[in-house]
Amino acid sequence: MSTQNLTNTPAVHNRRGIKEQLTGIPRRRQLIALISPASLWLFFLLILPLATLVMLSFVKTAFGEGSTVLTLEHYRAFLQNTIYQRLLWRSLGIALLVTVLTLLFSYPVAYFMAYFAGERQNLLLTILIIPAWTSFLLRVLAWRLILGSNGLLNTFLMGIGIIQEPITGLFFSTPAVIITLVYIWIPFAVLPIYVSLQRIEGNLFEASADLGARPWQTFWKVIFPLSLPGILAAFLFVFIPTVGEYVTPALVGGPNGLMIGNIIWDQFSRGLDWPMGATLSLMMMLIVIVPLFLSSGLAERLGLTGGGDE
Amino acid sequence: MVKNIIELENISKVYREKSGEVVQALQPANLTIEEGEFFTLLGPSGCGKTTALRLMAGFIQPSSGEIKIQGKSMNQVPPYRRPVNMVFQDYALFPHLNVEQNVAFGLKVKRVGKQEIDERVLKALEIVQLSGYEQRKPRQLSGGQKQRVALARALVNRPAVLLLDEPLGALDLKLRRAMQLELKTLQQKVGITFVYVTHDQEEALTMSDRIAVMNQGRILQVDSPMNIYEKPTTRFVADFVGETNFLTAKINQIVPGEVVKVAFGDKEVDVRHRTNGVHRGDTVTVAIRPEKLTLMPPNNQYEALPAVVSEVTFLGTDTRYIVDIPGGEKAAVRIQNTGFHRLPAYQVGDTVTLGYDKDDAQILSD
Ligand SMILES: Nc1ncnc2c1ncn2[C@@H]1O[C@H](COP(=O)(O)OP(=O)(O)O)[C@@H](O)[C@H]1O
Ligand SMILES: [Mg+2]
Repeated sequence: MSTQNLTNTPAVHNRRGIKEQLTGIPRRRQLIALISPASLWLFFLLILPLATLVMLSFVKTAFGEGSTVLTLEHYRAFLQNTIYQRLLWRSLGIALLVTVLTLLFSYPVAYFMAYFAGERQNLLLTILIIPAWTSFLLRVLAWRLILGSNGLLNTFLMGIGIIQEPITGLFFSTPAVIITLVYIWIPFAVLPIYVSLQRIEGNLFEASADLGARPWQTFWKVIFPLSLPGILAAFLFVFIPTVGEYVTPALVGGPNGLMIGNIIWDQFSRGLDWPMGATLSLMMMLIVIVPLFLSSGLAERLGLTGGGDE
Repeated sequence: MVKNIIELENISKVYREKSGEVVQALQPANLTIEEGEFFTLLGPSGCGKTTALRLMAGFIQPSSGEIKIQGKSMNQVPPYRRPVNMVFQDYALFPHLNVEQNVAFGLKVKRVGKQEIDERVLKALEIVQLSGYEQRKPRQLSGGQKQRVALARALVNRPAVLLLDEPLGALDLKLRRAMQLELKTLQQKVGITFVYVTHDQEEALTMSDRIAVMNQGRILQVDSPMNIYEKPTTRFVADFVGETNFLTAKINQIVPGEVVKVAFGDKEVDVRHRTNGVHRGDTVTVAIRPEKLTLMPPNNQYEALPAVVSEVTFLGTDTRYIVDIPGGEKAAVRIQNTGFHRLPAYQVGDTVTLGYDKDDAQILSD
């Protein structure tokens, strides 16, 4: 079921699947199994690009003579260059903040939709998703109309006399990046949380109340823990792509709102230093993968994977 | 003195669907449940049993009337403040908590001390014979084990009343029978009032102190299992609980308090006078259980009708006969195979006498 995919990262599924396929099968058949569609998919979309990145990160230059010279200089550069590191931590910090804010806004929306919207559930779901159908660029740029110096917010605040001069720091700033990203991610976070809330059997609320739990106790002891798979899924949905974000910071971040993704992008485009870009990408991935593993371990410990809780 | 622990006064429930459809799930009913008894709501699916139970638990509000528990009105009291606990049909165990945490849930939310919680949980698991399963998650348990956890989770709170909604419904037959006995023993041991919902008449008869038979939102008869079985007042009760012959007869004469003389065709027999509201000349239904009928040679002290055997079925412990009686109807007769007789004792086409004790036949009021 789709809800299971939300709690189990696809990677976990595939790992198990292939292992089961391969154990106890003769070696020749194993080779055949390796070129099954799923393995091909894995190879072209995951292993090949990753291997390319790893190889790139160890060569001197991407093109010309340097492309055959192996070196660790890019890793050294990363370790010595505090700007790279600062930017990476900064990106992680922003991503974490964006994710937490997104979850804080999304949870009540999902909660309302799951339990109080009644027959309007489908309508609300559609309304929630419609913005995601419009162009990403358009949605990011829409925030210029709101946060820019001549934007709605400033006009409004000046109109009611709270401020005399437009606040210029609103746009082209780190807060602008955060606000925009939170706005973009909310629908993506609401959905998995909504699904996990909807999946909770109605009689568990009754059982909880029957055993003497007040509504808030039922929330913290039953509803919230049972919605953790959704929260976890939403966290990963938002956190992982946000760490590597470069479009939004480029559009609304200004010079102070840059993230590691922008630097990587620079290495590959203007800087033409692909090996450095590859190294930075790998470092970023390494750091992003850690919470991913932590969270899947967490899910397992909470008994939330597999979804077979009848 | 017998104390009433639950009183339903003129309670009714109407569900209003969004489509505008109105379902009268419970007709205005009065019901009292006594302290310490095993009380069963028995009826076919959809007759309103769960509705009645949920009204007591407080999950739904009555459309009219008052619910009292231990003499106090419960209408304004939310479920979490009612002195009752429920065992749900599909158990409703918390999937994220293990057995121990499930059982401790009620005590924890009531902020009982840690040590007392541990002791009471241990005791409760012992009572339901689940010691050693503390760390299991619900999905690692069989149906019967989940059932026991649900029971322990409710009992550990020492409720005044335990509400059970078809708690054995999901178990296989053998386990059901075993659990029926266990539940009954448990109820006598803990002394808590049980309000038990089932659609299984056999279950109701074996376990209950008193049974309320329900149909289409109405409570038809509240009585002891024996009286429900032996003296059903309505056709529905007689039919729902066990097998019954419904035979049409005409009342020839009533000797108040003694007998009613009824005619099947041109043959007159006696039935004990118990039913009010019947008159001479009425056509009525006489109900009698197949095992209360017997086949005999003619002329004896019992009430007797001439009959012809039309069907014989060997059932192991019993033989079931279908006989034609005067008036053109058929009656089922069940006779135990005691081994003294050649089996079967009668063949199709035999002319026999159908006999019964006049106390065992019942004239139904509707
Ligand atoms: N929440 C509800 N909304 C509308 N109708 C309901 C609802 N719950 C029960 N009913 C209806 O009320 C009647 C009694 O239901 P219920 O009490 O569940 O019966 P039982 O437990 O005896 O099977 C049924 O006709 C059922 O369809
Ligand atoms: Mg029911």
